[in-house]
Amino acid sequence: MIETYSGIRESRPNRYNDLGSTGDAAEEDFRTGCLKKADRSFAQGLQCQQINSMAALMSLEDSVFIAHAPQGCVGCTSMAVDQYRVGQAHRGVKHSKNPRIIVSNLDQNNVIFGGESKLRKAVEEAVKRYQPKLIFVLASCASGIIGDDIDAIVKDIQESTQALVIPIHCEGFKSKICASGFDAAFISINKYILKQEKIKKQEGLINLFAPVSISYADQVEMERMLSLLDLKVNYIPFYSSLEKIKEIPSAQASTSICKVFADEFMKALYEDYDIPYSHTVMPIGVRNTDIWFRGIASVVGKEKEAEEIIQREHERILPLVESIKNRLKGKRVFICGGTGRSFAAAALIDDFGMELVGLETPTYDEDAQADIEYLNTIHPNFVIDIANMQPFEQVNLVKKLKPDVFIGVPEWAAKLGIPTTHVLDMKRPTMGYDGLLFLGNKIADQLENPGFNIKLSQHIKLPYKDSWYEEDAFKYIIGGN
Amino acid sequence: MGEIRQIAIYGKGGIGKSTTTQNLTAGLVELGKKVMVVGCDPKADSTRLLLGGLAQKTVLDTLREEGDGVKLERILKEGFGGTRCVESGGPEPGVGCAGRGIITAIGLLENLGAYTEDLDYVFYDVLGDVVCGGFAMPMREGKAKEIYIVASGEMMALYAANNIAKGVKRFAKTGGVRLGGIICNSRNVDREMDLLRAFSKELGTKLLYYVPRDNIVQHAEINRKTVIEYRPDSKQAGEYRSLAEAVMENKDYTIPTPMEQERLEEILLEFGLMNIGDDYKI
Repeated sequence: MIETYSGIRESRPNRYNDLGSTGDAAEEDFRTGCLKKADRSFAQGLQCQQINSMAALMSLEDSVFIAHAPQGCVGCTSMAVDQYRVGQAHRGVKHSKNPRIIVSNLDQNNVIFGGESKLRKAVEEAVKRYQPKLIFVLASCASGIIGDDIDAIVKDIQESTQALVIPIHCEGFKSKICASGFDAAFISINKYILKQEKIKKQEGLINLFAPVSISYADQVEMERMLSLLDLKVNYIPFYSSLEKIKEIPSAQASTSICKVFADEFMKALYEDYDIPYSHTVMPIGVRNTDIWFRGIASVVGKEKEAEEIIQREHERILPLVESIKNRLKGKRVFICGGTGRSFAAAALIDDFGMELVGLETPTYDEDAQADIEYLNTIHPNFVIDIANMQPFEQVNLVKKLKPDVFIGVPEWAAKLGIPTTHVLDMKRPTMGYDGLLFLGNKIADQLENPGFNIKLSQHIKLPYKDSWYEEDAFKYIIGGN
Repeated sequence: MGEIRQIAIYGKGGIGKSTTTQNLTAGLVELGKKVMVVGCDPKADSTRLLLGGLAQKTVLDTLREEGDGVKLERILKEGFGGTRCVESGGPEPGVGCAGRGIITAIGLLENLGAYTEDLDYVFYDVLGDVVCGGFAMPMREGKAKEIYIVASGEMMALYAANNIAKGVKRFAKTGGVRLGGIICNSRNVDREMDLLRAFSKELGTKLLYYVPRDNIVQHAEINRKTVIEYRPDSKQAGEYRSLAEAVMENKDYTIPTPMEQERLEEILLEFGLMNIGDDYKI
């Protein structure tokens, strides 16, 4: 019997969420098998899988999301709502909509007696208000602990409901790796929509998987690049539809913009529908964009064409990169982002001759090792913090390392007076050859105009005691030695 | 007026906790004590013998149907000899969370002022094993300080008792709960009393009382009565009165010393099976 993937990323071997080290030491320890699982005795917030499952699918047309949860669980959807609205505006939607989210509002009584009736009512409401084609029912910690059998309830509801009702098992406590939330969503899409039914293949159709954090400009750039290879893109699942999801099994190949988004799903598509896939890196920076492009080209047998295109693109781009390099050369950088993005951004700064001093990213695994091996050949002695958020560690490191610029999720570093550039703002270009130029100019502009961050630091104090900045940033990472 | 003695009764499912608790209560009531019995089992059958049937509305049913404005008189019924009877109730089998139900029900009883100063005893009759935090609620801080475990000479009853003792030990550190002893509800197993004594000793407690087996208990149950009410002059009624006195006079409270599985099986072998052939008949 084939092993079934649980949707919990920790179930894959050699994944580490808690580590404070240097690039060299991490590479060596991972290679020799000396990296051990650790934990944090103090932590500041992690992401929950529910929001990731929901955010991954939020922009699907004609869909409603029912969080089978106490009402607080949907508090964090506001960020995703913002992304969705901006995404619509960029795509020229005149009357932009909010995502349709209903929370079943499990209360004390429902926890004791079971939440079935509330869930049924929520589905009825969803149908009455929106007449959707898709209704996603998202499990929560509360419904998971009391063991509400949402699969059975959904099965029963489905008999009398026209819309497709799909349960997603994204209970928050299941995993500390937020990408598990993506996997939970894709497992359900495979089980309830695709159903392992093979359909006629469409020559030249590529499933391009993109997380919510990919801007429209990036989508356009990726589609442009693939069109140069005469490939047509089925852009999934962001701004997609039930019809497009159903086309997934007809694709010739799959690839993903993000390294930790849909990588497990692409494996499943290969096993269930014979769709080959390319799993490489995130296309940020010249080197990574080349690797990403070559990856998908080789899967569809267009290596030669790809090399010609890469050469043409280089001729077009590299002189422009050179002009940005003059503005950025030698600047010291701290990078913080998702697992795919931060490593890609670290490779990107090489295009501009910048120096990596610190890198923060949520997970260390085999893919990360490949990136680190490369980074270690360019940047000696950079600090690595394997952390999902954990701002207290980040600000400690940033204060000590004193980078010239911070690239990544800037909420905290911006308040330290350091010029910051977001690579995860989900709205502006960062990917591909064109995105690289935009990003490079943005970093340079930020560096040359640090006034905002300096002013901000003069008026805002982060909530940590001065003594914390003297401490070892990795003080609260325990075990793993 | 002294402090209310809050007592929780635990033991393997089907061992006779509810029957023992209600007969013990009847014994205490006869001696003029004021007693409240709180059934902590979704089946809500802990006060049936005191009330003469399953007529009671449970705390959680009331909470569900009537919302937060629940009145104490709706959930507190008076039974045999003025006993106050409450059933926490809970969800249908297989749905929801019964443990959370117990926590909510006990919290509600406190909020509604069910623990009046004139009470001498409160008994919590808790279902089966301590399967989760909810079923440990009666022994948490500020609730029952005394635990009695109902057991018999059967292996599984002793396994369960040892397991419950682990829970008691845990809460003894934080909440001041103590084990008051083992009550044997006899199944007429060979050398039962010796076995229970040895088991209790190993657990760092004592065999508080040995209740012999008597079919009159079943007759009383069919008639929805405690033995003390059904046949006040019977020998078994006298046993329950003696049990009530034993509880009343008990002063030995200990932090239990639960056993490793191997040790428990050693004791069982020593008292349960050694020197006895497989000649028992069913």
